[in-house]
Amino acid sequence: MKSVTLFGGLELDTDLPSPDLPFEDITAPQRIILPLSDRPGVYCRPLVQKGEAVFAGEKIAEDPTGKMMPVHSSISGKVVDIRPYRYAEGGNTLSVFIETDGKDSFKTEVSPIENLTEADPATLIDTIKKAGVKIIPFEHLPEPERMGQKIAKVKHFVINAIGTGYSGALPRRILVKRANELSDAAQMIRRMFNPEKLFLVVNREHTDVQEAITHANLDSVMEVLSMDVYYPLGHPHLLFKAIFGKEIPCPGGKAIDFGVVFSSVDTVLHALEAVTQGKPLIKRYVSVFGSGIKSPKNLRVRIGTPLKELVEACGGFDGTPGRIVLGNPLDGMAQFDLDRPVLRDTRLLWVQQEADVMKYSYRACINCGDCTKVCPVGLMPNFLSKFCEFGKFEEAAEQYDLWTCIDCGLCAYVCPAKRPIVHFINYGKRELSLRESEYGTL
Amino acid sequence: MELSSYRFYVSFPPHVSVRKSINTIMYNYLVALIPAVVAALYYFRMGALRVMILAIVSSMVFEALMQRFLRRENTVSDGSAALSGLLLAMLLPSTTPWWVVIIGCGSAIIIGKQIFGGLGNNPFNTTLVGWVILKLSWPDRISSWIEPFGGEIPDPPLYVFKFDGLESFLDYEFNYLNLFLGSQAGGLGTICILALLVGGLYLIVRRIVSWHIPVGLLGGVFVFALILWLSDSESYLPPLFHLVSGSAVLAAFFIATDPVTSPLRPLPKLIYGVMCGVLIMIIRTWGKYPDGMAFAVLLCNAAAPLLNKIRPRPYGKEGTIA
Repeated sequence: MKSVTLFGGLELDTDLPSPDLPFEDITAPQRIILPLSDRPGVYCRPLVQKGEAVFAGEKIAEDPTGKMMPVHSSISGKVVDIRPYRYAEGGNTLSVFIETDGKDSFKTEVSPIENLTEADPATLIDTIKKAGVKIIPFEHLPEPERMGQKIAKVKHFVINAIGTGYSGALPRRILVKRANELSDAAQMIRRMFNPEKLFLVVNREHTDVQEAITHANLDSVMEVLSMDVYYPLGHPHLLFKAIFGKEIPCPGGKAIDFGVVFSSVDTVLHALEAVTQGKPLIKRYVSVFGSGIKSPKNLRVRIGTPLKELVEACGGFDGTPGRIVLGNPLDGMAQFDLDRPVLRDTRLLWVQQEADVMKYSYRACINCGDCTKVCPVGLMPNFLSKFCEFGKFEEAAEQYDLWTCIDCGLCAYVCPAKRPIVHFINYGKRELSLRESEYGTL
Repeated sequence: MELSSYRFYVSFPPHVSVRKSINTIMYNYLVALIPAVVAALYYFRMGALRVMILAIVSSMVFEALMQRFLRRENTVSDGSAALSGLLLAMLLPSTTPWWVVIIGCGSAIIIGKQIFGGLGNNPFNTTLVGWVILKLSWPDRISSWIEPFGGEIPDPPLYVFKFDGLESFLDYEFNYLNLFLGSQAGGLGTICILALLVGGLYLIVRRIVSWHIPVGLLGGVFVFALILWLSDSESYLPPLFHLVSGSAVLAAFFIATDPVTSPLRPLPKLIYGVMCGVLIMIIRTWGKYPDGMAFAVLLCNAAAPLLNKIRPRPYGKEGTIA
């Protein structure tokens, strides 16, 4: 299960969510929940009222400041409620509750673009924005009014087809099925951003992916990089170093400062669908796996679908479930509610059996050094966890580079004293940012 | 069962963990000491059994009592108390009086570990704190050596050399093979180098211990002794002799590698090992004690936090790290 690579990181033999299984569409849910915010401080304003009828694909909320993508209903029916719903990540968030009318009638204001090669870049970007596809963070998208000046902000566009590096099953499946669509996507990206280079990062070990790439002749339209994948390689910082051999200055640096943007293969395909077929982002791929699920599956679900529909589609729980996690077991967020909806950034649902849940308390650090061995960004997590445990946040930030941490979770995974190192680190980050906002200084 | 009736655990990531725990580390150390225990039983018979059992039991009892008294979680079952007790027994002769063993274990556990906050917080090696307290308090009681089963010389070779001089040392005609197999007077677990090597290799193969500290320590001892011997072979012992006698090998694999008190990255570990080895040789050559292992390792324990300042360069940080 563990072979340590030189620069940290772990190669994990994961219980893959059945990469050979086809994607299954699950039936439209009876009831969906759509949050109106995707990160703190950014909100959409609802465009519908309680009791109003909506179509599938209809825009129901948008952000007038343009920081967040608009929200589309994924089923047709009636808005039954607009009230806060409690999410495990961000706490209470105003959400729209929609109940189906069973007709699944589709209507959207996103209009397809006929000819990709001659389309106006501003129109393309506008379409993608309208469709709610976060191909790159919205604030990095070229401004519409400046588009006429052809500002070459994006120099390198990287399509990530390895996920976080933990489980590449989902992008692998997508690539095998839809590799030939990627050449259209490449055309679209070139038209939109006019990047100098377009990269596609794939796992060297996945031979079926390599075959699909050769078959679709992707080498001619983009630079395909086959990499030895280890766990947090998919993080932009590490991928940036692996591709360009440079490091992004930390803390505070971003890949966009170097004109590099990262996007995942499923997002790119969603953008392509929006542009060519006029489809807003209302369905996405989710892999369901883990010891607590009866038959792991790759699913295509509507955004807003409660998790229990996904579990039912996979044959229910195997044994008593202990934890449901959105994301991979190392950095995913544990959920407490099966009504919680699938969101636009949900890719994995991992279910752990109750027998596998760790329930013991942690011990003092014994200095074994395993965490420094695996840390992919060269930190000393043992010291960070000790400093943060005892409230020495400034020391942790100044002497041990607290803010460089990318929350991959490997340190706590290998810790023999079972210390919740990532938790301590996040506690320290949160306390520091609270102090900063309170006093204005760090 | 209706899906909505399930309740779930909510916790921070990661939700999985490796099997390796403090318990497995300590138990692996104990398993690796089995060859040395067998050798001690062979050479010192019931005396060895008495000291070892007394040390292990009293260490665990002291740990349990202290944890009860300080209202800490009881962690006797993790094997760390048993390990430090057994290691202390490894350094004592088979003739040690029972009360000396108990006082040694008590001071090791209480002063060496629990008053600092338990395992993980002790700045100095638990076992060595106990041994040094005994050495400074009752030096005669823990130096009443006897000859091992099948051996004739009732004193450890290094003691003979230190106190009787090279002339009488040469009269004894020590045989390297006998020394390697353990036919020498000395602490229970320090005599049989073969058994210690087997146990040490087990630890390295199981990746409980990295190779840096053992190689650094034994290399430091060997190279320093080689330099001395090459400069004056009349008054110094040959380098190999320093490895097959005394407690350098025990320290290299079992005592200096104690994770709590040693540095945690490869390069600092190597430096730490070399420092231990060189200090052992300095104390053996010019110091008062024939075998300076305990003091050398304790001094290096004090240097471990400083060595931990040698850090990897964090991602994206400009310049070098002091």
